[in-house]
Amino acid sequence: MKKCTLCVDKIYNENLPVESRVPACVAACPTGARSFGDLADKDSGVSQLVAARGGVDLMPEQGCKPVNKYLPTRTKVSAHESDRKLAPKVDNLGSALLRWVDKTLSG
Amino acid sequence: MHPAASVIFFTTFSGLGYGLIVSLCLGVPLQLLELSNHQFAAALCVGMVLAGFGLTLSLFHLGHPERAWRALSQWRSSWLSREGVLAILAFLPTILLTATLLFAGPTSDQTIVIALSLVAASLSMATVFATAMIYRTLRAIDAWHNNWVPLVYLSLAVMSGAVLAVAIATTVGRLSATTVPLVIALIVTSGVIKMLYWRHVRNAAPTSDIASALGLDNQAKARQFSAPHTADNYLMTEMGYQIARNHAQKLRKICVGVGFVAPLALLNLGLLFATQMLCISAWLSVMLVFVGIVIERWLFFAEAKHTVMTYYGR
Repeated sequence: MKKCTLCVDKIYNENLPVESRVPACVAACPTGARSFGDLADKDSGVSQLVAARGGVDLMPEQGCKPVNKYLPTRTKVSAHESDRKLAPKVDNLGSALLRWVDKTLSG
Repeated sequence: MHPAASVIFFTTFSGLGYGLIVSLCLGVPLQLLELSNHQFAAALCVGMVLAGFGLTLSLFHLGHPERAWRALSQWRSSWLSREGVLAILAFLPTILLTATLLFAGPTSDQTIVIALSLVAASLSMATVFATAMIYRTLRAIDAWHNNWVPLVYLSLAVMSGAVLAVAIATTVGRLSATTVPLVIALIVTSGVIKMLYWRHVRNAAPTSDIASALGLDNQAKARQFSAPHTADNYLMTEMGYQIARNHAQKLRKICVGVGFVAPLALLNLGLLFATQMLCISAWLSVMLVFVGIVIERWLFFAEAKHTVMTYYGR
């Protein structure tokens, strides 16, 4: 069992294209939940993310002063009534089949 | 925390050995234990053998015991390293003292003996203290991160050493009238300290809870619904050793009964009756105290939980 090195061998590897110079876990994450960068640099992407979304330490009372931050979950944007105006509602559907098709396609 | 047998027996043996050295180095000059120079020297050798045996045992909990000497270079930052350095340093005045006692004549100056005794006792106590500090400094283990831990280690080492010193003295030498009552007081004190430690562990709130572990606000009450794996991993077996609560309570009672109450009863009986009775009581007490401390040490490890277990729903 070894400690994470944040793939330091990839970060400074001149043989890789710049976009690939991230830790393997960051590149692998299918949902893009991980970001890599320099938190000490206020203008870096990760610093801006942390500032904009309020990045936090986990278990700060342990006193470990972690060098990474966790971004809190974003609030879900619920569907607004105005969005329904995009697709006009079809009323007066004579047949039950048409009503069912309409209901299924509207989600 | 997984109780490694080598660490349990190492701390018990070395505590006993260094505790014996402390007891002798204080007891003989203060004439609580009446031993001749040669008897004092022999008893010190017993202490060194016990401590040395314990230290050798500690090498067995390492993956590469032959590399252990390298740890001594990290004394500036590591209590484990300081323990190694002090353990070796403590042997120096003890060996010098032994040599002085064996080869110096009866008319020789007692100041050297007293001076070496004080240095040997101090370094022996410092070694046991360093052992305890290894555990006390671990921030992530709430059961260990408090000042009771060094108190428990020191008091149990001195207590076990004192009982052994009494046993040796009753066999080959003599005791003063206050020696056994003092040792009885030591046993009571160390038992009380141990129980206060258990009370602290029971009452102290954990440093971190699931809400801070997950970055949720304080009102969130999260619990693990299902685990992503069916078997335990390294962290769970090493840092999250689980012991059933009723087993732990039973073992605590056995620890107190065997390690403290029974020796108290035996030593009191020995005080009331003949010297031979005291000798038998003392040796029996040594064995009982040893078993009691092994159980106590096992529980010290088994009942401690690493904070990382919060992420495993424990």
